[in-house]
Amino acid sequence: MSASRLQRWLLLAFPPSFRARYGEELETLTSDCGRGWRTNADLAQAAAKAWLRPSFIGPPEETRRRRLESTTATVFVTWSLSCLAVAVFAKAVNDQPVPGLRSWGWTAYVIGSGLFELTVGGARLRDPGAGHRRDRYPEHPSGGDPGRFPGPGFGGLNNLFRSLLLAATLFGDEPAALCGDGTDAVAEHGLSALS
Amino acid sequence: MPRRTADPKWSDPGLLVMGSLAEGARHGYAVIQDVEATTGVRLGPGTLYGVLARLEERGLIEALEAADSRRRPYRLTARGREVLDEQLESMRLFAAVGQRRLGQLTDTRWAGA
Repeated sequence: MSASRLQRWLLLAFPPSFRARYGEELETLTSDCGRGWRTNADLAQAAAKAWLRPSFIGPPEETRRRRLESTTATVFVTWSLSCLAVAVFAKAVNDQPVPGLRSWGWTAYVIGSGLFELTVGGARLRDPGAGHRRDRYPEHPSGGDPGRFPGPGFGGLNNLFRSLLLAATLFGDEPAALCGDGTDAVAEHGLSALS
Repeated sequence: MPRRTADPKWSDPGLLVMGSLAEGARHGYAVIQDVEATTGVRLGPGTLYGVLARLEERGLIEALEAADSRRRPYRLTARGREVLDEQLESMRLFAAVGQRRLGQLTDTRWAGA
């Protein structure tokens, strides 16, 4: 998308009442200020604010009509977006990216958690002396004695173990799928073997 | 009448715009340039018109008729002048108290040393 077209879309993103009053002026000022990501970001932010906190100028009847119009439009847009979000969420949670693997949502969660655990575990293993308790509470009666409390080095191994466990969870077959296979196997072979 | 909390605060871009309009009527681009020259703050076009809409809704500024409707100038209303004056006065008092306290602190430190 070209910069001028993006800017036109951003100007169209303002509420109709705002555009009716300030649209021409804002368009002229935007072209005076020049194109750039900073101007575009500013326009996007201002458009969002104008929807969330609209301003109405004019006689009370006109203001009331515009406020009602704006409220109806906001409710409609929010409702449409929430319907879309529910569909996307359902797809992310239920669809399997590869047969045998879990859904995209689950996969993203496990990979994210695994990476987090690996990073934390790696950092703590590399610098096992950096126990936050010892740094933050030097006056603690234990004096940071690793014999009294689990030391930070152990925490690092713990993190690594948890990341491996998460990886095993991700790449393991789903219990439901196993059950399904088992049932099918019984249906196909078990009954004939019994008879 | 707008609530007191609805008036622009000293850190608000609204106050910067009102400060610029205190000198006389200006259109959007002139306001941006003036605010940048006096305070170093660069207001974006969307931010500026969001602020102008808010101030106009509260009756603190008004648009003037112009031959070119795409570059309409704005000016402070009487209520806008009042609000700006109040804000600047409270800022002046705050600055005076702050500077006095800083002066006392510096004196105490020198006396201690």
